[in-house]
Amino acid sequence: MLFLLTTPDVAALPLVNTLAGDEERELLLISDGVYLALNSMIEKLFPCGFDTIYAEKKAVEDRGVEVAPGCSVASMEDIVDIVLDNGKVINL
Amino acid sequence: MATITITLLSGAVENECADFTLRLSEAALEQGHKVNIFLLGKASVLGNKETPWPGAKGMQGELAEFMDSFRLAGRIGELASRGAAIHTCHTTEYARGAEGCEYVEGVQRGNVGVSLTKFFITSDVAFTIG
Repeated sequence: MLFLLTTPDVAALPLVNTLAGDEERELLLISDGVYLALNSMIEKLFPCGFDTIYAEKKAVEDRGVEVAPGCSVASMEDIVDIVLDNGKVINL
Repeated sequence: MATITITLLSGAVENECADFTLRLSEAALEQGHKVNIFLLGKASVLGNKETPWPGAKGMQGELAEFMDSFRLAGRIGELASRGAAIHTCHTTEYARGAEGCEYVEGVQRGNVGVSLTKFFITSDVAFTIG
C-alpha cells in the first residue's frame, strides 16, 4: 500500500497504521511533503513503520532538499512503477 | 500495460498536485500504460480552453513567465492527444457556472456516476490527489 503526502503536515500520519493494518506500506513524499525527508524531520515518519520512503525528484531538486539516509529519491518514471507495484494508493 | 486512474481535486495554482498529476500521466503514457484523469471540484476548470485577457497583462515579464508555468491547458490537450482519457465532473462545473465553457480538445464532459465509475472498474490502480 502506497501513501502519498503532499505537505509536511504530519497530522494524518496516525491513520497509516489503521489503514495499512498488516500490509506492507510505503510513503511517497511530493510537493512540500519532501521537507519531511530532511534529517531533522524524518524521525516524525518512523512511528508509521514505512518499509520504504520515497521523495519525488523534481520536488526535492526545486527545494534544494538534502534527503536523509533511508529515503530514496524517485524520478517520475520510478513513481509509475511504484504506484503500479503497490496497487493501492492513498493520499493522506 | 496497466491502467491508472487519477481523480484530481486541485486547480493549477493552489498547490502542485495538478502539475504532479500531469507529469505522472506523461511518464505513464511514455511507458505504454493507459491513463484516465477525472477533473473534479476545483480541477474541473482545467478542462476548459483558455480565455486570454485581450488587454495589457498588468504583470512584469518575470511574474508573467512564472504565472504562465501554471497554465496547463496545453499540457492537458497534449495528454489527450496521446490517448489519455480526461473527463470532467459536470456538476462541479455547473456549480461554478462553467458548465458551458468550451473544453480543451480531447477533454470530455463527464460525471461521477458514469465516467468515474467506468474509470474505476477498468483500472489497475486508482487514487485521488489534491
